[in-house]
Amino acid sequence: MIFHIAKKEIKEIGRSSAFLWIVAIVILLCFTSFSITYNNYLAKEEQHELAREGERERWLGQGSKNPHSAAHYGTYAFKPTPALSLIDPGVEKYTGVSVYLESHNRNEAEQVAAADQTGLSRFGDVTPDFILLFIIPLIIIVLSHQAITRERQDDTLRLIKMQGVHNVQVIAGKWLGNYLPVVALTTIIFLVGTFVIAMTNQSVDWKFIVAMNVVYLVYYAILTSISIFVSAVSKNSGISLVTLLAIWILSCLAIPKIASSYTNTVYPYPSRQEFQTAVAEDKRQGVDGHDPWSEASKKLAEETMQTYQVSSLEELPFNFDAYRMQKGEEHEARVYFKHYENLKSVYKQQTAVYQKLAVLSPFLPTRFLSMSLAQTDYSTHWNFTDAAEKHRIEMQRILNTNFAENSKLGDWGYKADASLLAEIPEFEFASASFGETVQSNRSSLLILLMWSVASVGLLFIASKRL
Amino acid sequence: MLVQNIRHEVRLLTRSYWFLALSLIFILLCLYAGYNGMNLYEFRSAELEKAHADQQVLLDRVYGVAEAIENGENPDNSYRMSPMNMSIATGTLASMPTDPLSTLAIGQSDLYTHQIKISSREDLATLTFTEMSNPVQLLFGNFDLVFVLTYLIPLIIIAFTYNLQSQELESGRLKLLASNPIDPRMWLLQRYITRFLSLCLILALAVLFTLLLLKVPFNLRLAGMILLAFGYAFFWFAVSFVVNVFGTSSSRNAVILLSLWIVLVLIIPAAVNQTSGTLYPTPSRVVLLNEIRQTKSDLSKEQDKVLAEYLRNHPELARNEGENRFGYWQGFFASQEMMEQSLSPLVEQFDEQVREQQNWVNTWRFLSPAILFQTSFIELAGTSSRQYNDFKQQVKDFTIDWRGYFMPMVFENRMLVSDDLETLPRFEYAATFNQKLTIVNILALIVLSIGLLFSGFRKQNIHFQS
Repeated sequence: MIFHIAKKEIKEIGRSSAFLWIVAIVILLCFTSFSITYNNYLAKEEQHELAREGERERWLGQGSKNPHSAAHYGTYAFKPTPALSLIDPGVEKYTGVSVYLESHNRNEAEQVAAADQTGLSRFGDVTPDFILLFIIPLIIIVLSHQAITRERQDDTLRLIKMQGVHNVQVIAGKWLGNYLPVVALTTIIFLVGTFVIAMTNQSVDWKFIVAMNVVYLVYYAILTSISIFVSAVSKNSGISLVTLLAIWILSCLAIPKIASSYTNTVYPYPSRQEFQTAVAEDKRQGVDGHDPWSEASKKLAEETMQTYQVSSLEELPFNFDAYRMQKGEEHEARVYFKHYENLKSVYKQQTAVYQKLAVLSPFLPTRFLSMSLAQTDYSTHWNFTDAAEKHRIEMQRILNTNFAENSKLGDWGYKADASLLAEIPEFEFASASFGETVQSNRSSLLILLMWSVASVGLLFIASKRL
Repeated sequence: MLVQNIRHEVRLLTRSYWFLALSLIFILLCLYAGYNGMNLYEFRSAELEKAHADQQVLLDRVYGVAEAIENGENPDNSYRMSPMNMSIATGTLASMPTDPLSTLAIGQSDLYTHQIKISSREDLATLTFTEMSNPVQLLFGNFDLVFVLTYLIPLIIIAFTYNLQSQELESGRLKLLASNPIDPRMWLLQRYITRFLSLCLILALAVLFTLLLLKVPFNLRLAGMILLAFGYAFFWFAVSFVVNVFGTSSSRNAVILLSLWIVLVLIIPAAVNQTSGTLYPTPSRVVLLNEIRQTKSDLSKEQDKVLAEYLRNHPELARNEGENRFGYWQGFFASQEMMEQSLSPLVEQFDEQVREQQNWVNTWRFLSPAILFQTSFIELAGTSSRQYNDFKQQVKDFTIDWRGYFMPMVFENRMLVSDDLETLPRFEYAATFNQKLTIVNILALIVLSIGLLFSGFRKQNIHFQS
């Protein structure tokens, strides 16, 4: 009987011209958005590849050079664009794409794309994730808001019940009938997405895309349940529609914004200026590679001479200038580590607030899971900047060690062989594996599961109200 | 008739618990939104104050050195009087003062920085103007007053007007009314005007309470913002009037009005944004980065030629007498200027694309009242993209002045003296507001609304049968 009801529901939906129009518009939007994002992706990839190659070429092309000069010249770490950003670009346009790796400083990721757009960009873009997160839920509401109210208004509900159909079967049939067309639509979008991703020739772990599809299907199952519940408890279709739209606005627009404002009030980030001032202050407390007159540098000189049992720096078996430079780097790296860990703890506190508020809206766990599976979330950006910093520290170590071991105190004219530059490997960033991604999103998965269980409960309540 | 109609309408509204409850919720939402705006404003103001205080400490240190030198002493830190130390390490602060009206519309103020350290060392093309923030917050946006007004005002209007005529029709009272010697269109219009004025009163109360909470001073811009809000509400009343006149059943009216809300507030702004970025794409800033690095690399290989060329262009600086203590910096500034000159066409390309995007948005803004309302509201609050881009430009111009102030000293190989400190360039942000945009947008909202009312009023007959 469940399947009979579902079949009748699907037939009715299929016959409705409104649904056909909606499907046509969504598919058109889907193709347009994929086409735009694909072209943008290719252009961006080409530009980034050019920059990556150019940067490596320039780094190696410095020739025989003083290692510390090379360290100051520095190089750039570029963030790769994940192929799944074609479906969900996440926070990509608000995070930088390159980090300048130089001696003494840990730089922030630069080149934020949102700064090169008009203020209207805050309304959002018509990207595939916009369709998946905002438009399809609206379609679910339009389709299901009258699933029960119409039967009640037309008095056909009584007829169905006279056939001896149990309320649970009616609700389950209605749910299935309204859910399956959405599953079909979502499958089309993901098939197009998979095809477009395949065209990029990037190696992709397909588990991510399958998981993303499943997450969206669970999200839509929850929304369909809520819609059927509201339809079952509403007096008429108008009230059902208005209630569902109010729920949509609350969960997709208001709660995420309230969550943002709230986290920003409770756990604000320091301003860039304040952050830099605090870092500079802490840096001043230790060894500065370029300042042999500071107390910290003098102390380091004393200690080094004691350790090596020599009476002057010239007697040391290495260039103390370069050694001090490395010690300065180590001190600076510690200072940056401390301040970035503080920043990260603020970020973690903010994330905890978002996760708590996700209990109020199934949109939030879906949004976070989607970005995370697309590897366009904030956590991936943190991993990138941390990897860039690790690379920078290692780069300084190699250069300073060469300088220290192959020259004498005051020998600023020392030039290392050009082959030293090739010893610094090209920066590579490996994003989290599927297992790690799932692991780090346990909370969102759990909340989505809770929503799923609660939505089944809602369906059960709805069956009692028929 | 008019008095009776108004009295009847007011009685209906005051007896409607829904209306009273929603009005109260609306006022509370406005207050909460204002509270969020105030939090961010206070945080920004405190940060700005702290940045100025930190900068003053640096400056006082230099004044201390200058005083000691004037008293005939030879302090250890006399290097602070070198033009390079002053222009780079001490530097100066360029800031955009926080505007009390930004409490009403956070706009782009969460994306951009309000204070930036000016140093002669920075390249204009790579100055960072974005603030440190959690990109998830930027993605979701803030729960501020402009969000409440843009998204929720239309919904409240729809909720209280979608069935003004159809309800009478469905209950059979319309026929009763038509049997009296009254013009049904005039009757409907009077109902609308009464409801519009009631909602204006609620809106005025909500805004007034919010302004009292925020202690925002009243000025012409604030008056413009209030006028915009009323104009926006007027538009949605006019839309609802037309739908009621042309529509049939209440549920159909609700569906049409909500669809219009989705299209006008959600889809069109996102589509206009998307098309602006697609038609006038800004290349990735990585391209610029690549060019900067390549140009720097090329110039560094010909440092001597660069300096000679620079001095040919700036004969007033060619007084290289005595000990050349700033030799490195002379070459540095020469390279910097030549690099900026050679890159200016590319930098201009970025700015030009953003200008084109803005022109596109300005042309198509009339398609959506939400764009008309929000762009002007944010502009009046002083937090629009245009204003932040203006700040960027002023900072860049000032940076050139800042460098230029120290340049003669660098080429004359001389240290700063007390008098030089008195004439240091100071940054003053000149705020600009696009009044024309606001006037045109308010007029457009009013003209569109009157046009809609007129088209509804011109309809000869009102349906008396559902």
